[in-house]
Amino acid sequence: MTTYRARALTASAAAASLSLLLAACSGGAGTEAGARPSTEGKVTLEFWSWTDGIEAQTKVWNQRHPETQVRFVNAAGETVYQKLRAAVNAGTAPCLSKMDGMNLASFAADGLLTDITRTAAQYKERYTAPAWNAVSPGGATFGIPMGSSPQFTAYRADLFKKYGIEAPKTWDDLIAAGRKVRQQDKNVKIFNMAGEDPSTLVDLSWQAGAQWYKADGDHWTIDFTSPEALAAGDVVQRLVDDDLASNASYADPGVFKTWDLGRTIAMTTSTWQLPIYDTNFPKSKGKWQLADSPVFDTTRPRTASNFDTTAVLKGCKYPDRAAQFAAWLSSDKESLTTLTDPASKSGLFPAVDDVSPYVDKIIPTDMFNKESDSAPVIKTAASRVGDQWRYGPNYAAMYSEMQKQWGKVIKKELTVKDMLTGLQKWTVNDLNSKDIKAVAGS
Amino acid sequence: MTGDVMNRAVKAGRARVPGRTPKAPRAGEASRGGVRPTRRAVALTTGLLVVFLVYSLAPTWFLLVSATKNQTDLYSTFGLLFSANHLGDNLQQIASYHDGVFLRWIGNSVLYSTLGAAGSTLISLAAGYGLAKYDYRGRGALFALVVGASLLPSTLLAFPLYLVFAEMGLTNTIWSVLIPYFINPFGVYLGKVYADSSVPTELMEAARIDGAGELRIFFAVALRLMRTGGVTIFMLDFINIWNNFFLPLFMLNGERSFPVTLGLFSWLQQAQTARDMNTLVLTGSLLSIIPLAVLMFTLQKYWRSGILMGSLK
Repeated sequence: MTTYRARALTASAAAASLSLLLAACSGGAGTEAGARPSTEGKVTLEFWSWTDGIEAQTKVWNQRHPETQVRFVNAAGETVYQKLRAAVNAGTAPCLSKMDGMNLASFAADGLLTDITRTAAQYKERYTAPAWNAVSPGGATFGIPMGSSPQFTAYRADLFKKYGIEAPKTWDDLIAAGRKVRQQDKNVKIFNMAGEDPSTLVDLSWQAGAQWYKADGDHWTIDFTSPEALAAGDVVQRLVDDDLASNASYADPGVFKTWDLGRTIAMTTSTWQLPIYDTNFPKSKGKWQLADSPVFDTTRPRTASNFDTTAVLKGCKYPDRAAQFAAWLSSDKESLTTLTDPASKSGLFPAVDDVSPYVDKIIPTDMFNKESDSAPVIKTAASRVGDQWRYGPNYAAMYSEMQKQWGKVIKKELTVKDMLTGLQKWTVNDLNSKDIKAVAGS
Repeated sequence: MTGDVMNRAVKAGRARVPGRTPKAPRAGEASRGGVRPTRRAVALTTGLLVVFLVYSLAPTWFLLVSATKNQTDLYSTFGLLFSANHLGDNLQQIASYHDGVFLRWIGNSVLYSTLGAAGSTLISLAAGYGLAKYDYRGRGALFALVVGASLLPSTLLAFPLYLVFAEMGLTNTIWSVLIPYFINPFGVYLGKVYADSSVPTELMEAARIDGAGELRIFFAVALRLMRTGGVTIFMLDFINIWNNFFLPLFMLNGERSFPVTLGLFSWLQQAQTARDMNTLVLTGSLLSIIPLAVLMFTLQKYWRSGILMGSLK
């Protein structure tokens, strides 16, 4: 907790003094149950995002909440992080911005966010535990979850049958199945790992129950070499050693052909990708099935998920209103119904506990065969995202470091274990050089 | 009266820059009648030029082909060959996306590029003229400073500029991009080169004797003589601004103020996170190079001679 330089006090002080000023002209009372903002009167907040559909939803909010007007600004995608840093330093930052989990952690560590732990506590119950973790990297809360993307597996049912294999329950199963396929046709792979994208290792580690970063009182414990982390690394190593995975790059527009033509027959996928598959798999339409992501321990099944968040930036004068709006956006039933509809093009999947009302619409109509248990698979994935995973203060930097070495792992120039050992050292040193206390876990 | 001064001055200028017109044909003769290139040299040159041509045209070809495909074909058919034509659909999607925001981006790009390049050209020519034609203490040092400044990548300056403009409360206004565009050290350098080569000092003296002030000499005489150079600077600036990305990324908030580069980038980002918009990105990219192509072709005769002029001196 203390690893974060808390900046909350100034913000709440500002909010308090403002409420005195504006107490006379207080607007309509908050309608959300439990949401009782301490700021009174009419305020305007700026909100940066780059997801389609959010702007329309913001208009709905503005109509119903005249006392909290939100000015939506469509920022140009992920490079916004650099700009946001500049804006906070220059004092021109918006109150709220969309952010992914790892950037939220970096921003929080650099003191660029507002600690909203107290005012946000009332919304905590609406979201899943791992989603709340994503906005509370060191214990203190700096934002509200926006959406999740729990992972599951999609596989070519027709080709699985042809090669005599079944949807793998564990990663050991997947490797065994991959070997069986290879014996029959050495050009067909069971999985894909792009040379530029180490997210497979992140997902596997998350699923295995590893904790690369763990907040321990006044310091971070960094553990890339725990038994769980090494088990995840070992799966990647076996996929690489036995040539069981193709290496199609996600930057290549032709990447979908790899699966469409049956050269790779299974993949990890998630909610946001589903709506686009109907158009991207013209040849293999109707031959796919969904299955739970393979697990490490069938008694403790876990999957991984990315989380989008709405972060409250430093200098935001009305963090209570900001949190109220962000929570409405991503937990109000009506708002979620609109946003999660593929017609909104948001690609958003909720981070709330009960996702069942939002599942059916995102399942593409043509992609799956009639036997696919698509809806239950998606619901299961949403409910079993491992809640032990944390984004540490230098996670984003560590990720780019890992990206550099991942390519070598795929080319068999470096073992996963050596990479993990190296990352362990790199991360601890990097944190210590930034005066953040960190120790190696094992 | 004024026209008279001008005409005389210009005539005098023509008369007093001998060698320019005769020199060109002589150079041509030399290469035609002098050493005959060997067959191998010709083959090698032609071969290299063909390679270069393919290298420059291949991406454009890919863009042209991709702009006619729908999303399914984009991923499933060969990238350099046409399949079913969906250009109409793509154009329609572009036109309707967010109430035609793409057209607004093109409009913004035209606005920023035209105003930015015009301002920068005027400033560059004036500054270059001043450096070339007036003798004062520190001129050499100033010129060295300008040349040095032109080596600084503009990307590097985007962040400090943002802080400065935020301090002045000018971020997210058109001035936050225009003012930095106005200042272009490389343009000043070119301006000096052009002023050196095309504005004879004798002519300025003649104008002074005729009673023209320094400002008048610059606007009525020097600017006209430097027109070719001016067009070159304008072109280079226009293209630079059209393609600029980092400055508007930092300075401008909200998609309605984006230039087309930033707009296309925001589509690409969508494509990677939520919604596949690659067909729109590709068709949009093709559309975004059309204004540049038009500009290049219409101003061709100016910039050709402009670029040559610099190289001859």
